[in-house]
Order: sequence, then structure tokens, then C-alpha cells
Amino acid sequence: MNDQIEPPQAAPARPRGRGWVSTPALVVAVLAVAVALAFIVAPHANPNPDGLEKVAMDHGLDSAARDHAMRNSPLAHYGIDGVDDTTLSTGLAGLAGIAATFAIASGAMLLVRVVRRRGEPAERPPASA
Amino acid sequence: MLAMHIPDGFIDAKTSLAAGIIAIAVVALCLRRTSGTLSERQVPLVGMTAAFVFAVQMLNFPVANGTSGHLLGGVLAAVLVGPWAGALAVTVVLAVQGLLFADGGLSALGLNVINMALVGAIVGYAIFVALRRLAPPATRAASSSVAICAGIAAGLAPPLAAAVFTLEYAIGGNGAASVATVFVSMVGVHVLIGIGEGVITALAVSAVMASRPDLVYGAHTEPRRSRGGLIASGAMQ
Repeated sequence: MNDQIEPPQAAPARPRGRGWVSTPALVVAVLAVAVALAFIVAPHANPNPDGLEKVAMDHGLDSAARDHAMRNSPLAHYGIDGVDDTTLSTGLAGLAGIAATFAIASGAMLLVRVVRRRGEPAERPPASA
Repeated sequence: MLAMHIPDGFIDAKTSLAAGIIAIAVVALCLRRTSGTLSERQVPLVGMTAAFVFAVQMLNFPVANGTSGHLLGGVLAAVLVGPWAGALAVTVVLAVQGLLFADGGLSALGLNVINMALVGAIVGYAIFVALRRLAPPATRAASSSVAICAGIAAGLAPPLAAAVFTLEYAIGGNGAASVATVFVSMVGVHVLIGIGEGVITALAVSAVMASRPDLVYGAHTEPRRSRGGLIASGAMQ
């Protein structure tokens, strides 16, 4: 690797200038934006089939498509079963998905750290692959 | 119709199973790679990235007559938290969508992981790195350079994923359409979707660069052998 982009030292470690936010504040802000998008924008998302779906319909790729195993999930198709208001239904489904993905992805990363800590001393860099 | 991934039955069982095995290997590799570099601080960042990709995938935008598109999010995730953790974040999104939202067939999960996590995040990140190398050295440290490279890589990811879908269709597609027809129409529409993907990715990366450039993995790491990158970068601060 002789033509690497110059290493990161270029970046100031603590650029606490205008706009600086702490990591927890950034995480909360991004999650808030995600929830706002789910409630405000998602209910008005373009209702047309997406790229894959359109091609599938036009060219019969879906001839052998089967019903989804989870089609009766209370959250199926990004709505809450029983909530009639589209905005509320889509927004709440989005909120559930945001919470689930955040929890599972963070949980998986925590687990990775726990497993590593058990496996080898934290100080020692892992053997290079 | 919000986000839609490959449902059950588009691709035959044998090919889907093979894709599932490849997907498991990809996830295992990502977990291994991630365990080498992950700091405590990155734990919520990976969760945040997955949650944001999930939310943005719900936002279908119009692309052409009667067709919409949505973010795949692989390059965005990879630039924010690195290709390995980014691919894991996308995989979590796909698993949650399949299991809770009936989006993306459960038997097709491996196919979707290949197209959006392996191609979208890992290959997409490699394209991002190649673009970073091409950028004039004097501009590389600029936030806009990072955002533009991320945007271009993100723009290329959907047509690339569409091409890989066509390959999967060629191997085990159940439809009657010719491979050439599927290739032309899938890549064609995903070139348009790529424009939206590129713009959204560039804007999102700029937003994070504006407040915490030190946390943006792609702004700091060297092209390959990226495992030590974050630690060396002082991004832990």
C-alpha cells in the first residue's frame, strides 16, 4: 500500500469550533431527524413501485413470487395494523423500525466488544489479516 | 409502496440458499474486521447509522414515469462507520425489514445482503476510496471533497447492485424475461435512482462533517488495511 491517502493526523482531534456537538448529542439529533422523516416525509413518499418492483411487473419476474412469510406482521408494509390514520400509522411503524434497528445494531456492536475483550487483551492489536 | 427488496420466489431456492451462505460469510468477516477496530464510542454510531438508513429507505422519491426509488444506504453507512460496521448496519436494516415489515423475502435475505451490504457498503466503500485517491491531494482534507467522493460512490452503487441482481437472475431467476432485458431495465432505472442516492448521501455526509468530522470514518482512513485507521486518526476523541 504505497499510495495511501495521507493518514488522519490531518484531522484535528477536537475541532470544537462552531457546530461541534458531543457524540451522544449527534446520535440523538440523527435519531430525531430519522423519526421526523418517518412521521413527516414517509407518509408522502412516492407511492409508485420502486425500481426493482417496476421491472419485475413489466417483465414478469414476479411470476413465481410468493406471499411474504411475515405478511401478517402487525408492522407489515410499514404501517401499524389497526391504525387508520396514514400519517400516524406510517410514522409509528417508522419509529418501531428505527428503535429496532438502533437497538439491534448497537447491541451487535456491544457484543463484538465483549467477545473481543474476553478473547484477547484489549491493548494488543489483533493479528493483521 | 415504501422500500422494496427482492421478495421470495424471484430467484430459485438453490441460488437463494447459496446467496445465504455467502451472506453469512460476509457477516462473519465483517464481525471479525469490526472487532479489530471498534471503539466504545462507535457502538451508538453504528446503531444510529442503521436507524438512519432504515428511516431514509422509507422515503421513496419519483425517478421516472410511474417508478420510484429509495436509498440503499450502503455507501452512506460505510463512509460514516467504515465498510465492515457499515455492511453490518445495512444487514441489520434488511433483517428487521424482512422480519417485521414483510419487506424483502426471508429466503431472499442473502441475495439482498449481497446486493446492498456486500456490493452497496463494501464494494461501494472501495469505490469511495478509489475516488479519494483520485482527488487532488490539496483538497482531500476538505469536507466537501469527502462528501463529493461519497456522493459519486453512492451514485454508482445502485446500478452496480442492479447489475449484481441481474447476475443472480441469470443464475437462478424464475421469470421468463431474458437476462439482457432484465439487465437493461434494472441498470437503467437504477442509474436514475443513483442520482437520488448520490445527492442524499453527499448531503448526509456533509451534515456530519460539519459538526463532527472526526467521527466520519471515510474522512480519515487509508484506502486499505483500514483496521488501524480509526485508532490512528484520533477519532476516538
